[in-house]
Amino acid sequence: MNGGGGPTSAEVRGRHVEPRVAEVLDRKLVNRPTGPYAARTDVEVEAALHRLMAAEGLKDVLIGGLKRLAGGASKEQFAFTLSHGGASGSERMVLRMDPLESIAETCRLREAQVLRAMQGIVPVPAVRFVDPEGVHLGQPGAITSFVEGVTKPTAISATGVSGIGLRYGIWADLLAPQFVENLVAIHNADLQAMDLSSFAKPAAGTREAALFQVGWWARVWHEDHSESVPIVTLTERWLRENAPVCAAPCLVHADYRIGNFMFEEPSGRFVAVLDWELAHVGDFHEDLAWVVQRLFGTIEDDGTFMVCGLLPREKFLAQYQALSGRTVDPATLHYYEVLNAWKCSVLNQGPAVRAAMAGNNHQDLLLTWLSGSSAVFHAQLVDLLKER
Amino acid sequence: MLATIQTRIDNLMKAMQQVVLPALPADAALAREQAQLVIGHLSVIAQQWPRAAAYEAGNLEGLKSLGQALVQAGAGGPETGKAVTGVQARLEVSTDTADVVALQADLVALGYSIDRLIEAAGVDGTPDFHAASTNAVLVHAERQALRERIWCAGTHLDPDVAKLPPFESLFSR
Repeated sequence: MNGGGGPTSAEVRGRHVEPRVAEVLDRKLVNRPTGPYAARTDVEVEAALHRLMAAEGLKDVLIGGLKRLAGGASKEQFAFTLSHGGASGSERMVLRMDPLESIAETCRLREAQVLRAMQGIVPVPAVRFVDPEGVHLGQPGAITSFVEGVTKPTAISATGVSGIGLRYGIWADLLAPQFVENLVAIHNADLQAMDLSSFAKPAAGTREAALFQVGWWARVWHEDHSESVPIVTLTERWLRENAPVCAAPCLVHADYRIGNFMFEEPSGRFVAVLDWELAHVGDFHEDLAWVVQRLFGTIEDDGTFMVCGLLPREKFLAQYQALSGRTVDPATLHYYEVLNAWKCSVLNQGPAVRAAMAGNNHQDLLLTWLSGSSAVFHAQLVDLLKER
Repeated sequence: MLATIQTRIDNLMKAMQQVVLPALPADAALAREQAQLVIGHLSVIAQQWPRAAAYEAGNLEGLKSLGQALVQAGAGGPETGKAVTGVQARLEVSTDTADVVALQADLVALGYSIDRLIEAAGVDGTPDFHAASTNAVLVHAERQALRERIWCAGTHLDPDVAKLPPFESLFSR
């Protein structure tokens, strides 16, 4: 037996969810029946911005050039120009606002804290305003500076949503070194110097780093899924039973990949690392395992798998180790490859489908479309679990 | 004769492609993306709808095989015993295989009972059952993942879509 009198499955599920994450997930359950949600109109967004600016004490506020930004299955995004009585000029900014439910229910306060912590470490937009509970905006939101740049070379077209499947061609040589350097900079940043008060930090030398992630996404799955997927259930069990010890937790981006960084043309210089909403304190292997996922990579004509379309897997891992001074443990990397494939399954078949069923997202159609990729992750889980 | 479902789907796609999409301003990014997604969904639905009942029946057959394997190997303490009984009860239910809604409801109910048994194996299952449950789920998942990838191949989200067997292979014995 695995321990007669041990914890029940319900007890196991309730463990290891960070307090702020639990608050956000609680809020989602409260909000769920208040839908359906409609994509915000320009008029609504402008009014919401005026309410927020008034609450911030700004006078003579002018909002101009309001434009919805394309993409984003998770948040509604708008660019606008703000001018007000206390400023000599105007500034272009970006509003990221939660729909009623999304594929990833996350916290704008945590995102803002990480963005502030990363200033000067990697290129990130500057945080201007945060409305974590949506008191003024109507929905939780954060406003950052607008960064000029592109997420894909303008001369190359992406083959899928979110830039996935993109082949960078000649740009790879310019972008790949920066891609690795920035990841190393995130992981090597001094956690003690950061204000991450809305984060729970897993204790060094324990299994908490892994179990916090299993706890988070297991709760999401159990509250959101509408149909059982036996491989997802089995994987959750495996993840709890095999969680590795993390010697030294660090900041983990948790969605570091193709499509989530911006660069200038023609220099290729990185100008922003984007989409920090899933960031947390955890094990660096988690980011490495995310980066090397099959879905984010491409296969060259000679059959070589290119991590995020940029460089071969072994080269990526070797460069990361050389630059970071860290040693990649293959078993831990494997564990996080399992965790990430499981998390992607959870996201695509849990909250994505649930939000779309209730009509609670601004892109219900995109969410149901993305759910069609779930089996890719199930197949990956089979392959990964057979390896052990 | 009434217009068939297939004809109506084709008409919807044509209207979206030839009338709605060209009428949208170039800078209406969300509207254009949504219109393209509507066309994409219709294209996939056009392929799937005539086969929906057969597809779900195949899914149910696979899930029942998994349930039977788990019940056969199930051994352990009270949690496992209770979960085995739950799966057994669901396996005895017979379903109208032409009724998509009934098939989907059965898939959900049987799936949840199987979930409980997989979880129970980790709580008080014997080591042998723990291992057997892993193997049984992996066997089921390998087959089912391939089925779903073929079923959803029309979305082209699968990075290996070109290597997948043809759609009709889902229904050949």
